[in-house]
Amino acid sequence: MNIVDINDRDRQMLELLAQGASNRSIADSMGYREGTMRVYLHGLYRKLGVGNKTSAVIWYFDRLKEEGRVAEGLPAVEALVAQEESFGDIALRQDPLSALGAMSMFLGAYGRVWEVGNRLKGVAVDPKTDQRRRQSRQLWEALLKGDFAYGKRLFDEDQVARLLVDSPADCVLLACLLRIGGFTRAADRVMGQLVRRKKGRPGISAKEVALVTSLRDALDSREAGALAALHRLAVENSVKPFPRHAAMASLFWVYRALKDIDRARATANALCAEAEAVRQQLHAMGERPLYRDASMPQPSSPGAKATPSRQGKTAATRLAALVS
Amino acid sequence: MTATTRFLAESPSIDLLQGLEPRLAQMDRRELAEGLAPVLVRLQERLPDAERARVAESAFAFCRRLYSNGRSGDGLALARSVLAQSILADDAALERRASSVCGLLAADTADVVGAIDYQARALALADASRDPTARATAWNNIGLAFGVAGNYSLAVQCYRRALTAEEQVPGAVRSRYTASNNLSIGLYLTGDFAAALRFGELALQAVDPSFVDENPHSAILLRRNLARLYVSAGRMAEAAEQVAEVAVLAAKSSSPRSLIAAATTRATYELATGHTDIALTRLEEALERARGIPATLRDTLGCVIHAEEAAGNAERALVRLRELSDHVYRFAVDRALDHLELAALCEGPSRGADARQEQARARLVSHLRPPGEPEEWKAFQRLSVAAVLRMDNTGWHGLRVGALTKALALACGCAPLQALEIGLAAELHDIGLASVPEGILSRKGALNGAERGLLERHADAGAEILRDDRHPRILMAREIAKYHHARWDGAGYPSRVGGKFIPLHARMCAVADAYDEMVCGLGAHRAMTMNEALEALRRESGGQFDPDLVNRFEAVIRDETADRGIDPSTTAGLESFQELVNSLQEDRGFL
Repeated sequence: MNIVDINDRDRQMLELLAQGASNRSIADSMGYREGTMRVYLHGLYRKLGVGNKTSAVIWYFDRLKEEGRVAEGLPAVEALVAQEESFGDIALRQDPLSALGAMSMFLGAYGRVWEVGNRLKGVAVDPKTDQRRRQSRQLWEALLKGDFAYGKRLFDEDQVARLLVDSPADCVLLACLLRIGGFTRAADRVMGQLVRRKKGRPGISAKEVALVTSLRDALDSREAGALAALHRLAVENSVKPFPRHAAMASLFWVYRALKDIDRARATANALCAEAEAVRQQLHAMGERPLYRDASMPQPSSPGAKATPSRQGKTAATRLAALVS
Repeated sequence: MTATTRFLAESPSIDLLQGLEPRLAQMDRRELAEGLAPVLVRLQERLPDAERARVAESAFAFCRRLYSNGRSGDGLALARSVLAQSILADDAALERRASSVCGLLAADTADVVGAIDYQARALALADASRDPTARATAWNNIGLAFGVAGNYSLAVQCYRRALTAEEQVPGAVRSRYTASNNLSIGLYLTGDFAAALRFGELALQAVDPSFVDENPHSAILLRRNLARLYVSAGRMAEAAEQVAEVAVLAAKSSSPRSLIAAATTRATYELATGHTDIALTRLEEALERARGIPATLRDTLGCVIHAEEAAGNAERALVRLRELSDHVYRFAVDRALDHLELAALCEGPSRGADARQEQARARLVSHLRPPGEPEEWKAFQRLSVAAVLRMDNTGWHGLRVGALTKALALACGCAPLQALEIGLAAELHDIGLASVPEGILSRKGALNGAERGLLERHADAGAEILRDDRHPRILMAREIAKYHHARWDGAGYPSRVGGKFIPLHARMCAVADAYDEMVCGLGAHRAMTMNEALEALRRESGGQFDPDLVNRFEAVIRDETADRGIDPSTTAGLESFQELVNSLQEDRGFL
């Protein structure tokens, strides 16, 4: 419920903002100077408790809807959103992994962040770690894809004991897979081993244990508290990326299982936003995580030598000249 | 000898090494590296047994020559090649000798970590061969490396191990003599005079004339140490005996080092017998000589300061003290920079040929390749561990602070990779500690003004060692090294910056650094539990530390300990804290 009082000037500004007007044109049509207008607009944002134009407009649409008088000619917010298919829709139609595609490398353990981090630390990856990485990625991709049978296969092949020693975090993923896939007894067995291990030595954090237990309660007894706990794990900043990403992906499947399509869609969107945020962070550090060169290679004509891109070619020749 | 074996044994490598020896003084580092290149190439492939043994012998002789000329760094590449050859040929005895030579050379170039690595390898090989003398030698060398790092208590432990290793071996053994000699000197430096005297006398019993001929300088050091110990015990007649012995030995070897050692020994005795003026004149002379040999300057200046104090010249003692502190500072910084230059030389032979071309290459490479580790990062890390070793027996203070700083940066909302960079840069925050005399670092009580001044210079020394600016991480590390003792209220050092003018990463590191020192009981602190240390941080919040960061740091520690089931209120010191740091260091598939 919106309880903020808005006066005529505010309303006029909001109308103009909703039409997509720039600061200058709002100033012109209201008869102020641009600087003054900016001050008024920021006063308005503060009053509404929003940070920018877009959120102000969304606030305004909500207000209109509450007042029951959606302005003539302006579609409702849902209608606006529903016009475009979001990431969440594709994820619902297929599965999050297919929707994410290459972007899935920014989520989950041993993804691109780990690879870049290793390079920055100057750590060479030994074969054993590489094997663990592959195993972990497979589990993570199975969780995104909804390939719960993969978890069951691992369980049936008695891989749990090995996983527990090699990489306890992967066991957490396995427990999630089994739980969501409905393999209740298998999931209980894995969880029992996880919790027992916790007493002896560290390896599994309290948050990871909370993830598996709240997932169990949310699915089995449909407790509201468990769902809230899972949600907290997925959104709180103090939670490390591993349980956070796993909680996000699990939450998507939980909402889907509960037939709460809207929340499942929103969760998938949040997952996509997280991947995008990680990609941008990498980009800000000077990485080009998805591609290094945007040039389109020319088709090779028979007889002619393949020509590298201009920039690459000059750089390569300069480097060759310097080295020689 | 048949024609074939003669051909094999007379290797061109040996001729080359012998040819290089007389020209050593005229060759600089690069020329020598170029001269040695053919030998290194030859050593890359497996040589026949006879040739290998002879080439190794002459290579070791060459390294010894370089070591005694103070150019150990230049011999390191050669010793490493012999080591590689011994591994190729699967020759364990040669491998042990080569690693021990590598270790001695590395220790002399300030690379204590590398030295201990090599010596540990030699020790493992000695263990495998069940040779007690070899084991004792390896322990001796590890002790020497710790001595170079300035951690005499660890060095003393190693020498003790060396002595126990060869208890059962009868007769005069060289390594027993060396170990008890070193042990005596180490104990003298840690202040345990009674035990030092006992082991000094033991070394005297174990001595054999051949050992003295082989290494007269160590015999002189033994006598000097004994003379000092007798003087401090008031046994003047015995002291006089040792002084006379030193004079004889020094006259025989007549190297400048020996003459300086003889002069300081004599002066110590004269001071004790009240001939202050003669002692001062003698020391002035020795000081002039010592200025030419940086390695001896420190000890000589120490003697001069004592003498001036005894003569009641407080002013002049202070001037000498300042000279001593400048010397210690410069010596440490220059040695660190020299080590970095050496590391760069080892990594890429093309480097350093032309500075402008170099820069162009570096720029181009940074355009073409994604950003990675700075080229000499490993060398920096080694230097920082070596610098911290004299304060923290584990040498891991830097790594722990790095892990804590990274966690704090993440909690402050830095992007993961940014936090990783900050954490890595924070590992080097105490790299400048190499410039602080070890006596000050190992002292438990409060420091006086002059000593504090010496300690405070480590921030500048760190910035000077990290002056290379080809990589943003090194720039960040320099800022951290310079400002990690700046206080939020502006009363810190080196410059009086305060508040948000202190770089954020330096403020983060300051909190983590203080926390680690308190929990581990480093410096003047006693070891506290994790909770007590948090309380202490909170008391200084707004004074020494950024209050916002202290709050976040507290949240990080509380969160992590709860998450891992670690009880932060019970044990003081490293045990459970190390568990916490381990969990922060684990990458768990992220960072």
